[in-house]
Amino acid sequence: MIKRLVVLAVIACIPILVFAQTAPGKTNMFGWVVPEKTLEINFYQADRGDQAQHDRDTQQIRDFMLKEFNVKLVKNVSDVDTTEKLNLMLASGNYPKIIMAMSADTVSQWAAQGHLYNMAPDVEKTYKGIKSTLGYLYGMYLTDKKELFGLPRGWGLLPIPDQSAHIRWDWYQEMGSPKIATPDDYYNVIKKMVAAHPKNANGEKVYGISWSTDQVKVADLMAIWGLKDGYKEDAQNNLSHWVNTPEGLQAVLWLNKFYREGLMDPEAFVNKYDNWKAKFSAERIVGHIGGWWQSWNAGHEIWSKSPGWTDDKRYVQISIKDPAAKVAYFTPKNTLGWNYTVITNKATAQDRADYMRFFEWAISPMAVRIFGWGVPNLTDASDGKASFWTTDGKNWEFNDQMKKIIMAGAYDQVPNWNLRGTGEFFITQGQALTKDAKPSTVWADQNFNSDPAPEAKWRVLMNKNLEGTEFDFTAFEAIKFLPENVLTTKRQQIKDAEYTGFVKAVQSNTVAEATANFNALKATLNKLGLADLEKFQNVEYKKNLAKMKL
Amino acid sequence: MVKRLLRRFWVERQIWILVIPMLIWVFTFSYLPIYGLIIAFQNFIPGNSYLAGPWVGLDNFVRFFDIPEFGNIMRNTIAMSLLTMAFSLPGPIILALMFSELRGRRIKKFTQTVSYIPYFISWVVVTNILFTFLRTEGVFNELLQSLGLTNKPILFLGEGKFYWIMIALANLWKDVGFNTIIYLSAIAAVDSELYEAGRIDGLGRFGLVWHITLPGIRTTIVLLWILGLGGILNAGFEQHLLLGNPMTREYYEVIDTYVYRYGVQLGNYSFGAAVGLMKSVLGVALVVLVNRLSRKILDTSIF
Repeated sequence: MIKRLVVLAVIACIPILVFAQTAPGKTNMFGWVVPEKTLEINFYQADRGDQAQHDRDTQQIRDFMLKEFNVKLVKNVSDVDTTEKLNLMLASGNYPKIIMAMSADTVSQWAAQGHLYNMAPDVEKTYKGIKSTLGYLYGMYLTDKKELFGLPRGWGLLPIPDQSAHIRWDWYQEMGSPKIATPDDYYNVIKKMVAAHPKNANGEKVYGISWSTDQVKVADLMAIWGLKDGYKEDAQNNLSHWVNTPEGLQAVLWLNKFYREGLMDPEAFVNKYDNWKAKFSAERIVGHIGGWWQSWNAGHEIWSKSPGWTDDKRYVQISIKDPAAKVAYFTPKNTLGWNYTVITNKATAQDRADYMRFFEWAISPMAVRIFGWGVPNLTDASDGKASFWTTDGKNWEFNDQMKKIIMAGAYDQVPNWNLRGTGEFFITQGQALTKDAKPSTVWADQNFNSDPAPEAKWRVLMNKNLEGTEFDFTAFEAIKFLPENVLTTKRQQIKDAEYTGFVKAVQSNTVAEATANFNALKATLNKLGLADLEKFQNVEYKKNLAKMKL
Repeated sequence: MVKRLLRRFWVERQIWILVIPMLIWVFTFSYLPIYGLIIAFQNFIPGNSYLAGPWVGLDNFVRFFDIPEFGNIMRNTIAMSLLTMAFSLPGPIILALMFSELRGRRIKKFTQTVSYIPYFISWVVVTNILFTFLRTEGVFNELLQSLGLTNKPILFLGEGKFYWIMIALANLWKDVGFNTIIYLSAIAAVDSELYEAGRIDGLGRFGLVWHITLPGIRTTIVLLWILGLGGILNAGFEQHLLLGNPMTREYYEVIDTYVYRYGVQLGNYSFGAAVGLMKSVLGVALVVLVNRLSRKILDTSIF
């Protein structure tokens, strides 16, 4: 009853909210003091992107921010390698006042040369909302000299799984849903499933498993044997690379079985994403190991557009674990966030004060919703432009119609889905639940993981299946590799050789050959300096663990 | 002296007006940046000034020879360059000779224009075409199977042994037409009276090509060969990044891809500059050496 009243109250206010514009100098309904002069937040975002597409998708939210906040958001992206772009900016001295999505390593590099503004005094004296919202994580962002050169993006623990094994659900049901708990169970089910469906409707061969080159993550496979992001951790928090563990060999031999039995797509390590997606959506791949969104995007999100599609024709994410492993550590989480927003030394004192005020507001719960879910209170559903949510600035509700679509993951069925600007401006927002009366997370679709509505059942099932497979691995993910560190190059050499050797071992014709190739890979990586890398990582990992306990 | 120079400049003023912008362009973009090579001898950190990095002498050069993949990288670079040269040197000559032998003006123009088109297609498109063509379920595998040459599909894109030849053929397809231009102009410059004399002496079409056309364009052939050898350490770049994959990495990694990934992407600009300088010095040395040999053996040289 109370909920209904709140909804009615919010809806009743919408016309007023839509047409009202807060006067400069006054505080608007979102707690922002509207500046007299338009505040321009003009920044380069260090993510690869298409500027034209971005401009189209952000039009609504940019208009909204200008009208309601008198803030002009200008996001510049480019379709070139971002590390290269940032290095060239640095070398030429031609860079903007604000840069977003800068990696921790790059922040350290730029800060060491005096190109970044130390935000710590401001955050600790004036913009305390940032410090209090970040909570215990705040200390992790400080340098040894207690300086703060970047505000995190995507910080905090979002306790939802990302990676897992996947199974074609309707065919699995058809088999009588045999128990899948171990890698061998999974292999047997996949094998039987391919035997039952050897060809698709077009007469093309069906495979058990495949990837595109950008999807292959050795760590996802190693998780099944209890390794954390490709490393085995002992009681003293020492981490050993998978090639130096018996589990590594077991995992390679398990995947090699798929290859030897003809269950692996021969182009599994050659496919470009579009080729893989075409095979996947043509019902030629029955299993998968990787991110949940991969089989959603290439599976039911495509099939659901065809007439006659049934709800259970999809992939469901499941956890598999070697019996000897304690947990399948599929999803390592970095609570520090993905990367950082920085203010460069090109900004004037006035710029810095303006930016910091905006950043403090951007970390507030309502800002998290605005930038995460897009423009609120739009009611025109005719061309799919209706908002996901409505708000009066204090209370908020999801739009029921949109909620159903989000829960069902049926985004593709809505025209102009991207126009609300969802997730386009990640400034200082985190992923953790907001700290207000009605907490939510920045990802609109992750707010219904235990919702009893029938549309949410697949998400609920996924989260139930994968419970406990995500884990906080911040201490490891936060290890920095700076250009001047000789291990940075060694690490890349090891990564390159690891990938090639892994593929060679998996695509061996006999068990003996696979074992020999695994041993050869182990010897190669150790010769390249894996022991030095492990040693460095262990020292840094333990340091970070200690820091996090403070 | 100055007066004489000024008078000469005034006499040749029309030519100088045409040349000066080009000279400025060459000076600005080809000579001015040379001072940046200093970073090859330093530990340069992007953002610092060119003289701020500590002097490390030849360390960055030595580092390249010390990398574990050095042997593989040099092998791939030289092998792919030589293979490409093996196809791309005679290819345009043969095609240019064929064009020059065509009688109809329209068909000649049409075929020439069609042959230039691949040159203007980006590697992104070319690698997609190759990918579609050479997949296990692609046209080429289907053709091989229907002709009974193989009973199961071959993973051309995933086996290193096919990679070099695949790239050499792709380079040939892409550049062969465009590279005929210079040979066609050389052929056009051959004195037509020589052909008439040849015909009177009883030479057939092949005889004319062998005894008149080819000797007539020998200087051009030698010139392009010498210049081509100077670029032996340039074995391509984007085609490898686009077409290569983990299965072929041991065969596709060349100097330029390695320098890009380990130099530019990891922020080691000094290392990248050192390898680039080394490539250029070796290239010039090769050009000088081959030019000398050519002068001695073939009595033809470019300088």
